Formats: sequence, C-alpha cells, structure tokens
Amino acid sequence: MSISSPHFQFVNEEDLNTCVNCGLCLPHCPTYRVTGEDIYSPRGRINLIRSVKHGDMELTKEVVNSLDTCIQCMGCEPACPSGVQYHNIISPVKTEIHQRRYWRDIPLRFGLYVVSHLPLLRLLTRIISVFQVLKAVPKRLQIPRVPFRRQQLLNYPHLSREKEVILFTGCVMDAWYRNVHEDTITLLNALGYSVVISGDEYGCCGALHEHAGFTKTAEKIQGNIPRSTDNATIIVNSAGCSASLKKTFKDSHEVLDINEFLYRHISDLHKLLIHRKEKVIIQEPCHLRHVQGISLEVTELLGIAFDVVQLDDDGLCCGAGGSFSFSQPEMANAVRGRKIAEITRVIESISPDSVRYVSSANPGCLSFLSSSAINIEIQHPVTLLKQSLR
Amino acid sequence: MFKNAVNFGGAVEDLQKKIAISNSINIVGTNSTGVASNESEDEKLKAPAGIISYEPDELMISVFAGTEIHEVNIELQAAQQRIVIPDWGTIGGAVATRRNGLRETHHQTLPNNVLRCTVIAADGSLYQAGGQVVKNVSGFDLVKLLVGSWGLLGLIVEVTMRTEPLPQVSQWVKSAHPQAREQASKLYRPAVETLIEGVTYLLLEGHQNDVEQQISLLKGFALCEMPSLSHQYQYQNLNFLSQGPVRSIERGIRKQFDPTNKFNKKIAAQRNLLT
Amino acid sequence: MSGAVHINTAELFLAGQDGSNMMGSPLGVCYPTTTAEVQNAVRWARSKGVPFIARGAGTGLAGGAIPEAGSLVICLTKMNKIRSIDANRRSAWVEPGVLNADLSRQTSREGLHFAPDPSSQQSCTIGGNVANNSGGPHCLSEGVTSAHILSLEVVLPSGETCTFDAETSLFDLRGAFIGSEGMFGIATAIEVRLVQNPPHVATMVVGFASVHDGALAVSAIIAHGIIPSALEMMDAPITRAVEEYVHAGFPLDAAATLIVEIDGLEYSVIDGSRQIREIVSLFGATSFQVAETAVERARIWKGRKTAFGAIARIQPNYYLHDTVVPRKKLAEVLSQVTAIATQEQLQVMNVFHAGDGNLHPILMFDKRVAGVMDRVHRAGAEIVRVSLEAGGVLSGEHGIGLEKRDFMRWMFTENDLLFQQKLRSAFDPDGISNPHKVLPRGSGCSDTASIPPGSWI
Ligand SMILES: Cc1cc2nc3c(=O)[nH]c(=O)nc-3n(C[C@H](O)[C@H](O)[C@H](O)COP(=O)(O)OP(=O)(O)OC[C@H]3O[C@@H](n4cnc5c(N)ncnc54)[C@H](O)[C@@H]3O)c2cc1C
Ligand code: SF4
Ligand code: SF4
Repeated sequence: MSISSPHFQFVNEEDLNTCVNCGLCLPHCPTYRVTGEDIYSPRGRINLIRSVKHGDMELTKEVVNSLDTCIQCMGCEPACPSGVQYHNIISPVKTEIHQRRYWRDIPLRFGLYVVSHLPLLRLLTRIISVFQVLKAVPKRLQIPRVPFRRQQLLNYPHLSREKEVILFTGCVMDAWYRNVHEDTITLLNALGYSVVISGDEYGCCGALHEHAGFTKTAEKIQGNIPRSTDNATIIVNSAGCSASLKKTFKDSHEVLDINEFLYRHISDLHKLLIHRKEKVIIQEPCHLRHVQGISLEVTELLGIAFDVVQLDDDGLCCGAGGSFSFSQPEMANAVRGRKIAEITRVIESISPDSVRYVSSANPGCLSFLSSSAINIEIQHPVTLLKQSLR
Repeated sequence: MFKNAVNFGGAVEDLQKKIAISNSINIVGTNSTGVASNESEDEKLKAPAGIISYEPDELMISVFAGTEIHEVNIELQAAQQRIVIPDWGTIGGAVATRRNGLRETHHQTLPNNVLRCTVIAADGSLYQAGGQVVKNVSGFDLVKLLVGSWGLLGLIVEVTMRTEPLPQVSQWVKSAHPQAREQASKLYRPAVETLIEGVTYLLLEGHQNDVEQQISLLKGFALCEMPSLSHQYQYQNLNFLSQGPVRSIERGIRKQFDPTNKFNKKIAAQRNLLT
Repeated sequence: MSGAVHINTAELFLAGQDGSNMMGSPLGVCYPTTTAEVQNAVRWARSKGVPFIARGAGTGLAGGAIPEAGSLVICLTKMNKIRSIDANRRSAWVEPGVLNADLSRQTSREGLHFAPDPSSQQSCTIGGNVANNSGGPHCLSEGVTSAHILSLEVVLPSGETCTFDAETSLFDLRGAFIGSEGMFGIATAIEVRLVQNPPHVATMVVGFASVHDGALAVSAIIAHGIIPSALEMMDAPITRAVEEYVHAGFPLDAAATLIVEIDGLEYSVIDGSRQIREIVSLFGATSFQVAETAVERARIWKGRKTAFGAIARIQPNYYLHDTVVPRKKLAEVLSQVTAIATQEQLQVMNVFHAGDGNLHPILMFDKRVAGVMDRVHRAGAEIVRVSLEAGGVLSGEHGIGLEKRDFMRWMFTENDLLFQQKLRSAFDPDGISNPHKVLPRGSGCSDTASIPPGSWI
C-alpha cells in the first residue's frame, strides 16, 4: 500500500478488501450494462476508490465521472458473492465529492431544498398544474399530471386503536401522488386498520438528499422528524423512503414498506380482491429489491388480482435513482432505454398489447418511466390492488 | 522440473529414423480412403499397431495409430463400451481424415473425443498434443488441428481417445417423407439425425422406455438398420479449396510443420498446399 | 465515442486487470462496435508497431487478458448483439461481447440454450469463452466450448477478416482458434450451436463424511457407465461459506458435498438417479437430498457457481490452479493438496468439477501479510507438480495465460512447445496479438520482449 491521499479516507479499508475482482457483479450494474466499460462498473469503481484512497491515482475528472455516474441502485450488492458492502463504500465517497464542488451542484441543491420545504413544494406544484393545463411542461421534467387543488386526506373513519398504523406521507409522494396515498388508506381500511396521517410535521424523509450525497442536510432533515409517542407501525408507500425511514426509526418504530405490510395480510387480501384477468409487468424499484430484499412479495400480491409477467433482467435499475436522472440525464436515459427495451421484448414475446400495466412501487421510477416514450400505463401496485377490491 | 520425452519403444524409434532421412513419405493405414499415392519413389510408412492401455473405468483408451478399429472394438465390447468412429480402417486413418461417421449432428464428434496424439514430425522428432484426461486447455489445441490433417503435419503414432458406455438400446428409424425432418424436431436430442439420398435417418438411444416413447412421437417412420455410407459423404473436407487469408494460414501451417514437403505430397498438391 | 482510443489513467488502470491477481499497463483502450472497427484498431496497432489484446469481461483467472506493457486493449463488450437465432438449425450468430447467460436467456423461448456454463457465465463473454475454450459444470456431458462453436469470423493479426468453419479449410482452423487465448486474432462474430433444454432434470445433493469417500463415489459413478450432466464437489469450508450466502440447504455437517445432476428423457433420469443413489450409499453417503423444484435447483447452482466469490468472506485474496487428474487419482491428489497447504500454513478449499477430474484447490490468504505470496506460489507449484505426477494436465478450463505459462515445460517437452509455437506463427507471424502468453519464456518457444510490470511468476 502506498502513502495515503487526501481523498476517501472515510472509506473503510476492510470494505474495499472484500472485493476480489471476480466481476460477477458486472451484469447487475445498469451503467456497465449500457456502456460495457469497466469504468462504469462496480468492480471498476471499487478499484478506483481504492487506488485514489491509497494515493496510487489522482482524483481525475474521469474518476469523478465514474463515481458520479453510479446510480447507487445497489444492484451490485446482492449480486456480490463476497458480500462487499458497496453502500458503505460509495456513500462517503459521494458525500466527499459533493462537498468539494459546492457551486456546480446549485441546481440540484435547489431542487432538494424545495422537496424538503413542503409549502414551497406545494406552491410550485400549483404553478406546475397551471402550466400543465397550458401544456407548457416538458415531459422530460418527469412530473405527473397534478391537480391545482389537492384533496384532503383527513376524515377517514377511525376504526380501532389496536389496529392503527401511521401512513408516512412524505414530500413528492404527497404533492404529486396523493392518489396513491388515498388508495393506500382505502386498502388499509379494508383490512380493518385505522390510518393516522403522518402529515406535514414529519415532512420529507431526507432519502433523496442522502442518496445524492448531501449527507449533512439529510442528517438534519432526519433529525427533525418527530419521534411521535404513538408507537404504531409506520407504513411507507415509496420504496426509497421506506428504505431510509427504516434506518431513521430503527430504535423507536417499526417501519414497513406497504408491500411488506400487505404481504403479511395476504390471506385476507385473497378474500378482498378479485382476479382481473389482465397482465401486469412488475418493475422492481432498486430500493425495494436490492436494498430491502422485497421482491417475491410484490409478485405474490399482484398475483392475487393479475397475471404477473416477470422481467428477466435481475431487477436492473430503471435509471431514475432519486435525483440521478436530473444530475446525469445521459446515463439515466440510456439505462431507462434498456429497461424499456426489456419491457418491450417481454411484451412482444407474449403478444403485442397483451400487457395492460407496468407496476412500480416508487414515485421516482413511476415518473421517470412515465416520462419516456413508453406506451403503457404505469401504476403503483397499491393503486392496482385497490382497483381490484371486490 | 522438466517433462521428459515420451518413450514408445523401438518401432516408433525406427519410424523416426526413417522419417528423418527420407525425402518423400506416404503415410498409409489400410488405404480405405483410396488416396494413397502410387509414386514409386515414395516411402510408404505405417504407424505401429496395438492397444497401449485401456481403462474402462476412466472411459479412455490409448492405442498405436496403426491399430485397426475392429480390433479396438473387440476390447471395447467386452467392457460394454464403444468409440465414435465407424468400424473400418485404422484409428490413425480415421483421426487423420476426421472420419466421424454419422454423429456430425451431435456434439460427441471425433474431434471432441480425441484427447491426445503423439506425432513424428518431418525432422523425425516426436511431439505430443493434448493429455490423458477428459478436459484440457493447456496450450494451443494441436489435437483439433491434427484431427483431419490428412497426414500433412506428421505421422500420428499414438492416439488417446474417450470411450463411452454402450446405451441400453440403440434403434435406427427412417422415413422418406418430405416432412420427416419436422417430425424429428419434436424429439429430444436424437443421437443421429441425417439425410441420405432423400431419406431421413434417426438414431435413438438410451433407456428402453424413453426410446419407445420417442418413437411413438414419430409418424411415418419405420425401424431400420444403420444406413451404409458412401466414401464421398465421409471425406467432404477434401473437396474444396480454401481462399484468401484462410489459404495463407493453411499454407503457413504446412510450411511450419513440414518445411520440405515430406509428407503426403499428393494430397498436399491436390489441396494446393505444397510450399 | 466507441471509435476513440481512451488513454486516461483511470481507464488504462482498469483495462490492465482481470479476474487474476496480475496487472498490466496498456497504452490505450478502445471499444469497437463493428468488425470494421476492430479491423481498424488492429491495423492501427500494426502500423504503430504496438501489440494489441482482445478483452471480454475480464473475468479470466489466468491473466490472459492482462495487457503487455504499451499495448492496445480492444475491448469487445460493446459488440453485444445477437445477430440471428435459427431455431430450426439450432444455432445462432452472436457478437463476441454477448454475455454467456444472456444468450441462453434469449434462446430459452425456443427451448434452447448454449451448453457451456462456466461459473462466471452471468458475466463472461462468448468471445472470452471461445478464446479460453471454457468449460463449466455441465460440460461433463455436453463437452466444452469447442464442441459448441460452428463457425468464427475472425480479424487476423494481419488486419484481414476471414471465416473459419467446417467447409472452408482442410485443417480445422476453427478448432485451432478456440482456446488460443487471443493469440491468433480476435473473434468478431461467432456461430454457436444451441442445444435443447432437457425435459427432465434431477439434482441431487449428497453429503459424505470425508473428501476421500466423496472422491471414490465420483469415480464409481462414472465407472458404472453413468455420465451425469454435472458432478461437482465442494468441501466443508466452502460449503459453509456458500450456504451463508445462498441458503440452499447444503449439508453443513458433511466433510464433502457432491452435487450430482442428471438430465434427459424421463426414464433415463429416473433410472440414473436411482443408480446414483445406490452407488453413493455404497460409498458411505451421510445425506441425500433431491431438489424438488426449479427454484431449489437454481439455488443449488447459484451456490456452486458463486463459490469463488464467497471466499472473500474468509480471506481477502485467493489463488487457484485448475489442474485435471485422472478420476481414479482424485482422492489421492486431494489429500496431497491438503498436505501441501498444511506444509505452507495456508488455508485451502476445494470446489471443483469432480466428474472431469478438474480440481480447483483454492489457496486463501491475505496478501498484506509479509511473505505470504512466496508460500502461496510454492504451494501452487507443488499442487501442479503432484497433479502432473498423477498423470494430469496443467489446466482444464481457465487457460494458461500469463500465470501458468512457465509451468508449461512441466507438462510439455521443448519439442511439443515448438510445434505449438509453429501453429501460433502461422496465425500471427509477427507475434503482435496478445504476446507473451501461454508459451513459456526463453528458448525458441515464446515471443521475445518484456513481461508486464507488476505481474508475478
Ligand atoms: C468466479 C469465476 C468463476 C469462473 N468459473 C469458470 C468456469 O467454471 N469455467 C471456466 O472455463 N472458466 C471459469 N472462469 C474463468 C473465466 O470466466 C472464463 O475463462 C471466461 O471465458 C472469460 O471470459 P471473459 O469474457 O471474461 O474474457 P477475458 O477475461 O476478458 O479474456 C480472456 C481471454 O480471452 C481473450 N479474448 C476475449 N475476447 C476475445 C475475442 N473476442 N477474440 C479473441 N480473444 C478474446 C483475451 O485476450 C484473454 O486472453 C471463472 C472466472 C471467475 C471470476
Ligand atoms: S464487488 Fe463483489 S462481485 Fe464485484 S468484483 Fe468485487 S467481489 Fe466480485
Ligand atoms: S450501485 Fe448500481 S450503478 Fe452503482 S455500481 Fe452498483 S450496480 Fe452500478
């Protein structure tokens, strides 16, 4: 090992050492898949981080680009037989890189500022809704159709205190996908649960900030989330947020992704749902499959009401990656192109028009996929399940 | 640690000496191919015969290349085994001409079953390719080059090859129906699938019940004996001449291995490989 | 982007490595997308008098893809299209950068697959498989890569393009090219044979009280005239490491675990598995499980195929040889391997293609420990020596590359090697395609010049 460098000293040496250079992670990395270049692969990134840390290599612009283009989808982590904890390696690196170039990241910082300040987010959402009516919002901005006046989520019947859960409403999910919250509440009520809305005091969970490498801001946001005295289970219907909140609340509350929660009630759901004889393709959000290991659950849940069609791409990322699609649009679009090609291939292998929906349990994926040229309805699994209630 | 040269005894050494001093050599087996030269100045040389070792448990046999195949088959049958080459001529002849029989459609072809060859080179030296194990990627695949080399790269004196257990049942079926091939595609990996003069022949092998079940899937096929093969069918690779860069490589190989055009001049000339 | 030669330090650094422990320092790396671009790259290298080297996914374990100092790396991963699938002829034309597992995935709709299944199949390229003549667990019954390649389109070291197949040459140039480790030119399109997926499969996991018993059972199964589709062995330490990762239900108390798979038509599978069960119990099997579902089967194979990677859970570095020994010598050689490792105070684990006699003794170590590399190399050399003494060969599937070339003299005479060099010269008279691999240094056998810095052996 050579002399140490001023960079990446926060990366744990043991984490770097578990990588044996075998390359088994390569095909699970979306950025390697679309480029075929080692520099955009997990193995390559680990190698570069190690060399920079050890002072064997400068932090050149190619190295920075290699690390910037990592979506942090964690597709590489479950694929790695050595058990390399890639998130432990990449997180401090992303943080360090962002700290070093404050000004360049201003637009990103602004975007992230907005989502963590709900009144501002809502104001902007209203303005956007007006522009949407005027058809002046480009599709690539990835914003779903939002109403000018949002419906209230309150006044749901309070069924019982024993069976009470907290629904974490969040930021973008609440501003843009309020319909998914409603569907979630309907399903939970149907299962006999009272739902308490976390509401604005919980605000944003900070996952986007953390993911983008703004660790300090993320920590601040996470610190501000109130630890309510109500110790009911917290339900989250955005995969990125559930992954993050599980860490935030690890000492005080049980946090479950909605898919996980519903899966616990699968036998009840069998009674509540009808089979619709329609086909649905499941697009698995990385934060659900790779980070939380929730995969078969969604298949089984949707299988109650639909004929489920699986993609055969090992849950490769769609390219959204939190704010990734804004900061690295070129790579994100290439990755999305591959995902859509896979969806198209699978559909055509059955027959054209055979598949009615694509489901995705994360707002980022929903909006990023919807803003592509894809010609198929993309819905949250909760929405699809709610529509299938008897 | 260095590998010592192999020793195959006096017969091989005599051949080596002859080859070293001779100018023109015609390698012969039983001349079943009919391509032996009739030039009188050619020295006709034949590889020694005899089984060197046979280990049924290892599914492997080593023989001198001049051994006739039916002799080998007698040994093999006693142990309920077989090799992929049809029963005529010598082992060396079959290897040199890549005489496969009908198994072309199957992966168990002759080139994949020859594991090692020992060869006398043009200068009389001995070289070996491959090894006595079933799987080997040590170095370049000279064995593949030697299988089907028509004696142009040296005299093959020894061959080690895989043997395989005899299947429980072996049944040929045939049909002259134009759609017979489509029928055949319903089957699971017939051992042979071949078209000879408009007739589709299939060889089904394995467990009795499986073979019966496979036959029941076929319509318009009749049980039959193994078809007999014309020599033309066997020696296809003699009938065309290579072109362009492929030709240069072929000539390059011949030049490297036999710089003075000692071996099988007639065939080399036919193939435009004299250098 | 793809036409350009990349020369930044980061990419050169990465292009200098593969799945082995070695390192090279190339001059540039390029990513051609067509045969013509490969041709341009080769011609450019020729005109500059620099060597070139083909690169696939860089999963090779013998350093075959480690570039000679100052050479041009031609990475084929962007040539990753399946050009055509002919379900009737059961063949497909693919570009060299297609990943092995992707090909079988794409042909599964037709009920077909590409038989060679190296454990690295999810990552490695068909071009790499051709260059290394790769094997895999199922090559026991199916044969290795060479048995599944029908034709090759190749860019020769001269810069010319040509096709090798069964019909255009007298000599089997296709066969000679396969396994040439990138030293005869670059494969730019490959026609592969596809085989039917088996209608019935039985996968058995058998535990033994000792490696010795397991090895004897292996020879007995084959000697009995049964050729399973795969016959793999794992010893206790590797089984434990793997089980932790895949949870396939491998027997944790067994000293050796055999994975025996038999496939084909219904009765051959039923009958074969019954016979296998009888044989293994004669040899003292301590447990016997049959995978009931495709999911269970997949998990067993995932465990087996990711075994190398799982090693890092025990030690950060590994080094292995892949010698092949006659099956009847398996038990004997395995105990010698254990003795060698003990002698050098190294941990060793075995996970290998037992049915072929293809060993993979994995020596584990932490390279930061002073002096450990010497012990590893001594042990490695000893393992090679005992394998060859048992009548075996140097490499069953990983190839010779850079790492094992100096062992070639242990297996071949100077004259044997000379004829290998002659073959090389016919394809590459100037020695510019991946020079200094496979054939040992010194004498007339190898290309002259330096070895890549940082490489060992
Ligand atoms: C975990 C693990 C398990 C493995 N298991 C097996 C196994 O079971 N069986 C097995 O056989 N191997 C195995 N290997 C070794 C390796 O994966 C194979 O040798 C594989 O075929 C290499 O493919 P690649 O695309 O990575 O080639 P690379 O490593 O990139 O290159 C290998 C060689 O091929 C040459 N090459 C690559 N592409 C071309 C081309 N288009 N034309 C000409 N030459 C080319 C290169 O120059 C180099 O010499 C394993 C490796 C790992 C890391
Ligand atoms: S991260 Fe894991 S899978 Fe990837 S090269 Fe390293 S050890 Fe192999
Ligand atoms: S996190 Fe995703 S993008 Fe980043 S290296 Fe891993 S697989 Fe590739």
